[in-house]
Amino acid sequence: MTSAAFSALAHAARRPAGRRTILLTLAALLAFVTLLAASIGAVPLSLAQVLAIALRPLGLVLPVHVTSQDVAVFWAIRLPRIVLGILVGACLGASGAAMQGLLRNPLADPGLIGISSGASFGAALAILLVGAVGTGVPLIPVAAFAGGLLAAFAAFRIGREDGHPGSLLLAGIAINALAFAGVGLVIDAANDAQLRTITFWTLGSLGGASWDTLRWTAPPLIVSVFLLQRLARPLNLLLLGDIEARHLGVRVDRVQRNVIALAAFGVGAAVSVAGLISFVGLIAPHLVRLVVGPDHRAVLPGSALVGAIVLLLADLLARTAIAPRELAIGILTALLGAPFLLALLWGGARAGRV
Amino acid sequence: MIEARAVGIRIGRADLLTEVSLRVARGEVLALVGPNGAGKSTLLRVLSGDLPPTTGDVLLAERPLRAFPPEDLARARAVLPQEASLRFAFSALEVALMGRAPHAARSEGPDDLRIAREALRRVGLGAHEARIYTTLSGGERQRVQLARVLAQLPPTDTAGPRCLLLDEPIASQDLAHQHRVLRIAREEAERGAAVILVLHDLVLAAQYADRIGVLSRGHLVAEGSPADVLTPDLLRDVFSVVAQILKAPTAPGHPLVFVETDDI
Repeated sequence: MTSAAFSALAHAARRPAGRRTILLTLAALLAFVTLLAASIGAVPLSLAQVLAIALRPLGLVLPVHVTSQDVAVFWAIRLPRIVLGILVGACLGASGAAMQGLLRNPLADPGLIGISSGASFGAALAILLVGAVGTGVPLIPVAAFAGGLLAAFAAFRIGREDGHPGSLLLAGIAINALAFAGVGLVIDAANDAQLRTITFWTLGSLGGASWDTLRWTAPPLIVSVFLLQRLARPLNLLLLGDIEARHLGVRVDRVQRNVIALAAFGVGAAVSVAGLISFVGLIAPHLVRLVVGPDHRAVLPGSALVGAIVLLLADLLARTAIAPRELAIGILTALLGAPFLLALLWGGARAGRV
Repeated sequence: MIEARAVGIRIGRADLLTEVSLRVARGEVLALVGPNGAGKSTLLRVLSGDLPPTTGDVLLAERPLRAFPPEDLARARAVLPQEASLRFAFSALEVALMGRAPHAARSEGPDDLRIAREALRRVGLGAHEARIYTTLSGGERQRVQLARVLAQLPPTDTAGPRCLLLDEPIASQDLAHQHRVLRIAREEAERGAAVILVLHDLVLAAQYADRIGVLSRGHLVAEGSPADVLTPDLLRDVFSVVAQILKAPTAPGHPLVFVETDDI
């Protein structure tokens, strides 16, 4: 494509009608990836079989042969994992976009203000303690959730003292260092079995998906993704600068508090059930901004959709690449995301940006 | 319209502003001048509501600024800060449209688009609405920000306050655009706004402002018509320069400042 054609296309994508088209395209792509993820696996299902199984409860019976085992695989194994992937990916994407907007830093990510590392420390500590006590409570996710919220809250309170977004980042870096030091100490005290659990957990996986886990992780993920969308306009104005946003009537403190609370709430839930999944929150908003520009009214829903697509594809790869064993999804997102980020920086540096 | 009553700003043990009182009515342009660090921008920040005064009060339409909810204040006055930090790739039109945010309840409509385009046209960027802000020159960026601020002003037939605060609006502008920007400030005053701007150029201040306020070390040391304020004595005391005040041959009402030496 010539650069003139590309820039004409890019300009069209920035108009409201163009944005709608792109969001609809992404939604269609997500639907397609969902079908794909539902059909591929240890028990292969054709797309027709997937549709037949999915539509039967709605009273639509398609003339496709399905066994009761197919039905069970779809409803009990594949669908909860897909739903979890979509929700976690959407939450990571939307939170990443909102954090980047809030900090006016396109390299920000929910991990930067300590949510993920706090959650890791919580989880690692719980693994150590559960191993010792041996109770059956879902202590690990609860501890991860609490750790993430606590770390984000601490970074926010300390880093906002002088009202500068850079300080929040620095506070986040310090909290991250502390939390990882904590994880290090826990690893030092852990036995081999605990160590394996901790390692697997810090690399991320959607393997824990079930309707049971969704019952308590889906609400915070959904709430976070949808409420973040409502902050699109104030986030746009914040890109002008805190002072300019205030001149335009934005209650800057309230917006900051809401973005961080919603991101911590959602990402805390995501990390608690799926472990650390890096780069999705960083990359999804970048990809979307390349096409639709920086307006959060397109970037937030777009990042949620792209986050969901990327995570579903990564999970598909994670559970099929070395089947019957599974790769950790965090390895895949990092393996795909890191070179992408480097390419972005390299291209940006050459174009004189960044 | 907008009034500072004995405003003082004390940060730590430093007095940035002391007992500053001024009043700008609808239709008036006041230029704030003074040496670097005299407190011009600080005063503008106090007048815009960014910085609550340590002592004294700021009133907009006889109502204390702190009594305004942020949304109401945004519909009554617009502010152009000295430096803009926008680093995201919005188009010029998208930036100008942000000025409509306080007026558009949910999303911008055709009226907002028309107002934003008109503002871009006034600052001389009507043909550049699709240009990406981050690729514009410093002067163009400043004028896009000015367009955003103009788009934020309430409609001219508003009964409520209408106030425009500009901090060094011509800092990055070439000669023609300096005059274009200052003419816009003048026009806004004629359309019923109270305009306060910070300027360094005394000649331009004399040409475009009804009154000049001179700040020196946080004190408002002189305030009045350009001809009254700009005197050799004041320039010596405040700016430490020896200067002559001349009259433009074709516009004798406008004092010109010729600096002989700053070696005193």
